[in-house]
Amino acid sequence: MMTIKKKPGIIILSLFFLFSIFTYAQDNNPIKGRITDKSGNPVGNVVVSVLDEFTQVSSDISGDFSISAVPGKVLLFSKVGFQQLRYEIKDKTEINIQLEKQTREEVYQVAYGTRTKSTLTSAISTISADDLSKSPVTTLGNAIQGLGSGLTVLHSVGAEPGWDQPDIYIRGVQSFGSGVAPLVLVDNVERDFSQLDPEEIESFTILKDAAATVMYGMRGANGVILVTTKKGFVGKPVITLTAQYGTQSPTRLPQYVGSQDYVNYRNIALRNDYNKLSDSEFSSLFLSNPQNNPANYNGSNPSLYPNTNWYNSFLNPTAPQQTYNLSFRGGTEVAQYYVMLGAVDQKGLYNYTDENSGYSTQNDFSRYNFRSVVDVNVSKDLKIGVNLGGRVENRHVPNTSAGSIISALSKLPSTVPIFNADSSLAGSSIYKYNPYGMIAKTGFQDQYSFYLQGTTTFDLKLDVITKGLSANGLFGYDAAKFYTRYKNQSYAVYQQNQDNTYTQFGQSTSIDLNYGGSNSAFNLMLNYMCGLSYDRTFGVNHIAADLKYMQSSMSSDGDNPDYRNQGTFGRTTYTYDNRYTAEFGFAYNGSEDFASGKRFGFFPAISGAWVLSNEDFLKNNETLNFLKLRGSYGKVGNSNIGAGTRFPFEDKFYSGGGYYFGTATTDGSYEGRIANPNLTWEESLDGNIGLEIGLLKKLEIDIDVFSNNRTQIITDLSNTLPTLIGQDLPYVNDGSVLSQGFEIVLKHNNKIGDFSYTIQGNVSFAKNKITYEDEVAGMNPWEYRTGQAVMQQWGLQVAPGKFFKDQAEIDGWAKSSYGTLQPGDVKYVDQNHDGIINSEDYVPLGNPSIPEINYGLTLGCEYKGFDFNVLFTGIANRSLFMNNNVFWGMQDNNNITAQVAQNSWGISTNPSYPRLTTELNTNNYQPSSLWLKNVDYLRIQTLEIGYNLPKKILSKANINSVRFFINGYNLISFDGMSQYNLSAEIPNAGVTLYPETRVINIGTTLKF
Amino acid sequence: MMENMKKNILIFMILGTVFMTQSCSDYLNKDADVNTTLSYQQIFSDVHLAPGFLDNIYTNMPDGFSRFNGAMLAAACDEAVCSDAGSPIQLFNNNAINSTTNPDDQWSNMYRGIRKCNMFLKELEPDGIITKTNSIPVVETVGTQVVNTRNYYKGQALFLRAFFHFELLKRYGNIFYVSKVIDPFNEEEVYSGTQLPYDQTVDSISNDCDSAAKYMPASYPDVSYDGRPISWTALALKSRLFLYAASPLNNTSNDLTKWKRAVDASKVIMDSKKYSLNTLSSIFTSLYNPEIIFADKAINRNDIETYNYPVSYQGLGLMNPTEDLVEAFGMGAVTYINRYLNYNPADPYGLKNTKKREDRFRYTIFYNTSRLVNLSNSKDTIVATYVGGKDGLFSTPTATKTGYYMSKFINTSIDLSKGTTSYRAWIYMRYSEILLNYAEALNEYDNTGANFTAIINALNLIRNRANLKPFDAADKALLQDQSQMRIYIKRERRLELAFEEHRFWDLRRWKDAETVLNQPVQGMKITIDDSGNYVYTLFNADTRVFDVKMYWYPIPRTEILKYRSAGKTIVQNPGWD
Repeated sequence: MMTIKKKPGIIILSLFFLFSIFTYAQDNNPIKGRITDKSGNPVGNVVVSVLDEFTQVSSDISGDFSISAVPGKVLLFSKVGFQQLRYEIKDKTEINIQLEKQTREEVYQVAYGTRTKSTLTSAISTISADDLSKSPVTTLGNAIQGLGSGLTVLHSVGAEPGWDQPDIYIRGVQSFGSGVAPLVLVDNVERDFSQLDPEEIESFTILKDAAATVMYGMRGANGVILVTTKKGFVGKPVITLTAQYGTQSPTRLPQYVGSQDYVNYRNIALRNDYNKLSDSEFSSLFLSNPQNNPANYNGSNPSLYPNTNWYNSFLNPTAPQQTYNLSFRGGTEVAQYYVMLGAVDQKGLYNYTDENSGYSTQNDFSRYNFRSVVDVNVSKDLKIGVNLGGRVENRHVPNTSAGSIISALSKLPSTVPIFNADSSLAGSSIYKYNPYGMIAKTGFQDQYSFYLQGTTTFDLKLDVITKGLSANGLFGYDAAKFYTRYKNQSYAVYQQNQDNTYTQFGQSTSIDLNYGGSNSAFNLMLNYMCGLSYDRTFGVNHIAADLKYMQSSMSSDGDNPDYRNQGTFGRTTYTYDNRYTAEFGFAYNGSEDFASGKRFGFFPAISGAWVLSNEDFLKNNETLNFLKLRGSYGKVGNSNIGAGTRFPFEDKFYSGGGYYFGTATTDGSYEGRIANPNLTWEESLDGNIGLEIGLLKKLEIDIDVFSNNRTQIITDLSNTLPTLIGQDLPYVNDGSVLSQGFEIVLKHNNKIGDFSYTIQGNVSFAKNKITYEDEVAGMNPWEYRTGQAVMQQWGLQVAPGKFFKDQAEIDGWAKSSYGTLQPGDVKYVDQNHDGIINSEDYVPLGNPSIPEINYGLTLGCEYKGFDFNVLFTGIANRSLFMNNNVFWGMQDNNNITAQVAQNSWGISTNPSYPRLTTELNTNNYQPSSLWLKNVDYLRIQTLEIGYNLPKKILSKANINSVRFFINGYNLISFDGMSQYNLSAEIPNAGVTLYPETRVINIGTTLKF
Repeated sequence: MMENMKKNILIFMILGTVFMTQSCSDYLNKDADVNTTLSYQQIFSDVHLAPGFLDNIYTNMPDGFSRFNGAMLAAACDEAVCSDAGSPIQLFNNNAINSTTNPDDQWSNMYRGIRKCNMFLKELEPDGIITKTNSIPVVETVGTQVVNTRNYYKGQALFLRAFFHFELLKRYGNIFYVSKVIDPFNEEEVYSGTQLPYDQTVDSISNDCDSAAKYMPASYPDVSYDGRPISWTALALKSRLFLYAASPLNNTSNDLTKWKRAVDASKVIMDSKKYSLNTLSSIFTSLYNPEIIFADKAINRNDIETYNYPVSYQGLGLMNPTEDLVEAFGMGAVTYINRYLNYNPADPYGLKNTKKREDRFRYTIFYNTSRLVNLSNSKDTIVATYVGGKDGLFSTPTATKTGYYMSKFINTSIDLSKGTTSYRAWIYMRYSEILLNYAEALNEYDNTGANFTAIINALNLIRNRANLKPFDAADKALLQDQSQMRIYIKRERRLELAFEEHRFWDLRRWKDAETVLNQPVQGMKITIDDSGNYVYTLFNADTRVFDVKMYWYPIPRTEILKYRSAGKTIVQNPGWD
C-alpha cells in the first residue's frame, strides 16, 4: 500500500496540472456584470459559468463578476439558496443579473424523497455538510454531535485512530431489548457512514417520528439516519482541493503520584492490609525493606529507586494527522458528475515505536476514500445515475491492544523503572509486563479493510400514461473485505534484586519470520428497489405519491445464511394551497427473524401540517412571518433482536462442545436457546407535535414534543419462569417502555453591513420509563425495573459516615457478602434489613447511563473574508460509576493519584475514599453511591477561523477561491471530572482505554 | 383505447409491485444451503451428533479446581485458607451466604445438565429419533468385540442424570427430580414437579444408578472409551449416595438399615476387583489410572499451578492448608497408636532428622523447605515460607496466610515461566473413597466380629499405600470401640481425601460443622532466630463461622419468588426464608 508520506508530492503535481489548465489564456471579450437579489443587495460567491465550456468564475462580495464568453453562449448562475438562472449573451458586455431566492423554503430530505418547509409533516433534523467539515475528525460520527436535535452521540471508547466510533441513539433508548440502534442508510441503502469523507456528503438527516420513519416499517422504531452523498450539477466544473494538517493531543491524562509519595502511601496501605501484625512485626517485615523506604527514592539510584512517569515516557504530547481531498463537480444538461478522492492518515501517540529496524509499531490509521457519481439524462424521460463509492483502510497497530498498553501505564507505579541498570527491560513478580515491551517488542498488526458501495438508479417519466407519473429503481451492490495480518513477538522482563542479581519473567523471542493472517472476512450485499412515483399539481392542489418495493440480501463468508430484508412501502401527500398538507405513509415489511405468519407487519402513519402564516389572518405579517403546526401519529416496529442472534423462531442446535475421552476430543452437539415460533416485532406507537415559528425573517424556532409507546418488547421470561427448565428461555414479546421528550431548535441569521452572523441552538430531552417488564411478585420495592428508566444505574447506597470506624462498628453492622471487612471499608445501607449486604440491596442511583439531555449551540459570523464558527455541545442527566485506577488506586499494587490518596480514610480527617489497600477488595469497589458521578459536561466541540483570499488576487491565477482555516475539535470541556484529570464523557479514556484527544488543525481549501 | 392501455399498464405496475412482495413472501425464509444451527431432528438423526449430544452433557459437571476464581471448596471449611481476601469463597467463612448470593450455587447448571439427559433419553425411547433413525446403533463391532452401543449411551445419560441430581441433593436437600424435558410454553408442565422428601430423592437417584449400571458395560473394548463411566461407576455413586443418606444429618433416627445399604453399595465395588489403589505420587497426574472411578475430562492445563504454586514460582499461592490439617498428619511408617512418636514441635516437618511426616503429607502440603522435586528450570526448588522468605507470609498479597501451600494435584514438572502444561482431570470418585465409605458405614452398622476385621482390612489398604504400618494389636484394641473407630475414619477421610471436596460435605453430613467450623483455623508462623534456627509459632490464621442453616444451601431466592408469584408451592430450606 502506498504510504501517505508521498502524498504531498502528488498533490503538488496535480496542483501544477490544474493551474496549467486554468491559466491557459482565453482571449474572448470579457463580459462584466453585477449580481443582485430582488431587493438589490449584491450577491457574492455566485458561480458563473459558460454552458458547455470550461470557463468559470464567481462573483465577489459586491456581486461583480467578469467572464470571457462570446455572444450566443449561455451563462449559468448558480448559488445555493437561489434559483439557477440561465442567461443568453447577446452583444451586451455589461449585464445586470437578478437572482431569485429559492421561493419555496429550504428543501428537506425525507425517506425516499424531499419536502419543502411548508409541506413537511414529520419530525426530522438535518445537519449540513458544511457543518460536518468544520470538525477535524476522521470518523464522521464524531462530527455530528450537537448539530442535530434528537440525537445522542456517546463515546465509549478512546480516540484510537480508526477505532473511535461513537454510539448513536435517536430520541434516547426506547426499549429494554437488545436492538436499540437506529437504522443507518447511505444513499437509501443500509450502510455504515462512519468512515465516509465529510467532503462526499451532501446532507445528513435524522428521521425521528413515525411519519418520518414509517416507510422503514419494522426497522424504523429506533429512528433512522439518512446520509446522502453529493451529485454533480449542470455547470462548469468546480474543482475543490482541501489539504489539512493537524495534531492530536490527549485532553486529560491521570496524574499519579511520584515514587516517594507512592512508597509512603503504599506503606499505609500495607499497614491496613496487615493490621493484625504488631507495629514491631510490621516494621521488621516491611519498613526494614529498603524498597519501602521513601528516602531512598531521592534520585541517587534511578534503576533501583526510580521515579518513572509512565505517561510522559510512553505517550507523545502530540500525534500528527493529515487529510486531503480533491473533488471535481460539474456537468452538462446531459450528464452531471461528481468525483472525489480523499486520503486520511492519522498516527498514534505512542513513544518507542521505532525501536526495530524495518517496521514501526506506531498506530497508523490510513484511509483512502473515493467516489464517482454520474447522472445521465439518457432521454428526456429517462435518467440514470451511477454512484460508486469506496474506501480502503488500514489500521497498523502494535500487536498489543491499546487497552493493555494504556492500562499498564495507568497501573505501574512510579517505583518501577522502565529499564534496569543493565539496560534490560524491568519488571517484577507483580508487574510481569512493561509498556516498552508491549509497544516495541510484541510485533505489529495490519488490519486491512476494503469497501465498495455501488448504487445505480433510474428514473423514468411515464407522462405518456398519465402526467406526473414516473417509475424508478435502485440497484445497490456493496462488497467488503477484511483481512488482518500480524507478526508476533514476546519479551521477558527482569527484576533487579537487592543483591544485583536478576530474576526473569516471561520469555524473549524474535519477531515471527512470516506473517500470520486472521479475521479474513468477506461481505457482499445486493439491494433492489423499484417503484412508482406520482407528482402533480392541479391548481392549488398538489399530490405526491410513492409506492416502492425493496429487497436486500447480504452474503457473508462462513456459515452465515444470507441476511435478508424485504418490504413494500409507500406514501401519499396531499397539499392544498400551501396551507394544509396531509400525508399517509405505510410499510408492509418483514423480518427473516420471525416465522412465516409472524413475519410481515403493516405499519401506517398519518401526519399533517397547517401553515397558519399562509392564512389570510397571518399573511404578510412582518413579525410572525412563518407559523406552522404539524402533527403525526403512527405505528412503527423494531425487529432488531440484537447483534448475533438470528432466527429465534426455530430450534437452535449446534455441533461442537464435545468431551475428551481416551486421547481425543469427541464430537459434540448441544441445544441453544429454546425457539419461539410466535415471536414477532416490537411495536411502537409514536406521536409527535411540532410547531415551527419564523420571526422577523431572522429567527426560526422549531419545537417538537413526542411520546413513543414501545410495546411487545423482545425479551425472555427468565425473570419469572423457573430455572429448572434447564435452558435459555425463548424470546417473547413482553414488556413496554414509554419514551417522552421534546426538542427545541433556534436559528437566527442576521447581517449588519459586512458583518453577518448565525446563532443556532438545539436542546433535546428524552426520558423513558419501563412501564411493564415481566417481574416476580414479592421483591423489595427498589428491586423492580418496572417504573425505572431503561438505562438506570443501580448500586449500593453508602450509609452515613461512609466508612467503618472500628471493628465494633463492623460487628454491629450488616455483614458484607463482598469479603471480610476491616476499619476503613465502605459501609452500605442494608435496605432490606436482612443483615447481609448483597445484590438485594442495590437501589436505583443517580441518572441513567445515557444522557436525557443533549444540546448544541453554534455561533458563527463572517466579516470581509473572515469567518468564525464555534460549536458548544453538552449533555446532562447522565451518571456513571467510576471504576478505574484513578479512583481505585493502590488496589492490586497499582499506582495511585494524589487526589484519592490524600482523601482516603486514615489519611484525611474527612475521607471521601476507603482505606488504601494493596490487595483486591470487592466490598469497597461495588457499584455504589460512593463511585457514582454526575458526568454532565459542556464543551467547545469545534471552533473554526477561516479567511478567504480576496478575489482580486485570485482572478489572475484563475482560482475561484482560496480559504485558509484553522480549526479544533474537543477543545475545552467544562465538567466535574476535570479535577480528576479524566474525561467526563469517557472516564476510562487514558486509564483503560486509549486517551481522548483534542485536535488542532490547519488547512486550506482551493476552488477552481 | 390509448387511455385504457395506459390505465392497464398502471394497474399492472401497481399490482406487480404488490405481487412481488406476495410472490416473494418466502424470500425471507432462511437460506437452507447455509446452516449455522441444526434442527432437533438433524441432531438426533446424525451418527456423529446424536452421540455427541450425550458427550456434551459431561461439560455440565462442576470442576473442583476452578469454580471460585481459582479457590477451591476446601477454603470454605477447615482444610485451607484462601489467600485472596476478596475471593468469593470467603463468603462461606463470613457467614455471608444467602439465597441471593452463593458462589457455589449449582441450581441452574445442574438442571441444564438434567434437561440434556432427559432430551437424550427421550429420543432413545422406542418412538424416539435415535431409535427410528438408528443414529446410535444398537450394536457395533469394535475390533473383535460386539458392543451394545445404544445401551451404553442410555446408561451414561441415566448415570449423568443421577450424578446431577446428587450434586443438587447434597447442596439443597429439597429438590425437584426432573425426569422429562420441560416445555416453557406449557405452564402446567413447568410447574408439574414438586420437591421430594430427601429419602425419596435418594431412591430416585439410586434407581437411575441401577438402570445406568444395567445398560453400561463393566468395561469398554478399547482405550478410546477411557474416562467414560461404566456400570461400576454408577454403583460407586450409590455408595456415596447411601453413605450421605445414612449420615446423622439425613438419618436422625439412625436407621441402621440405611447404613447397611451403604455398606452393601460399597462392598459391591470392592468385590468387583475393578479398581485398585494407585501409587501415591501419580494419583492426580496419571490419567485413567486404576484408582479413578470417575473424573472430569482431562485437559491440558496449568491453571492449577497458576493458582496454587507458591508465589516465588509465579503462582498465586491461593490454597493455604491450615495447621489443623497439617497436625492431623502423623509420622511416617508407624502404627496408628504411635502416630506422633518422635514428633518434635521444634521441628514439626522433620527437617533435622529422618523422623518425617507420613508420605501423604508432602503430596498434600508444601511446607517450609519442602522441595518442588521436578521443577526443571528454577535453580531454587526449595519452598521458603518463613517470614521474610520468598514464599513467606506477607511476601506478596496472595502469599500464604497459613505458612503452607497446597501440593496436592500439583504437577511440579510444570514451569510457569515457560508456560508448560499437562493433562489433568478433576477426580470425582476414586477407589480409596469407596474403602472409606465401606469402613464408615460398616462401623456404624455393626462393628463387631468379622465386620471389624473387614473394616480393618479395608483401612489397612489405604495405610499400606500411604506407607504406614498396618494396624497392630494395640491399634485394634483401641479401634474396637465404635467411637474410636469413628474418630479414626473421620481423620483418615480428612487426610486421604483432603482438598477433594469431601470434608466440606462430610462435616455437614456428620453434623460436625457447627462445632468444627465455629472456631478459628490455625497457621504456622516461622521466623528465624538470631542463631539461624527456625522458630515455630502457632497463630489464628482465619475465623470460621457456621450457622446451622448452612447445613443446606438456600434455594435461590429468584426461584422461590417465581413459584410464589405463580401461586405454586415451593419450600425453602430452614433458616433461609
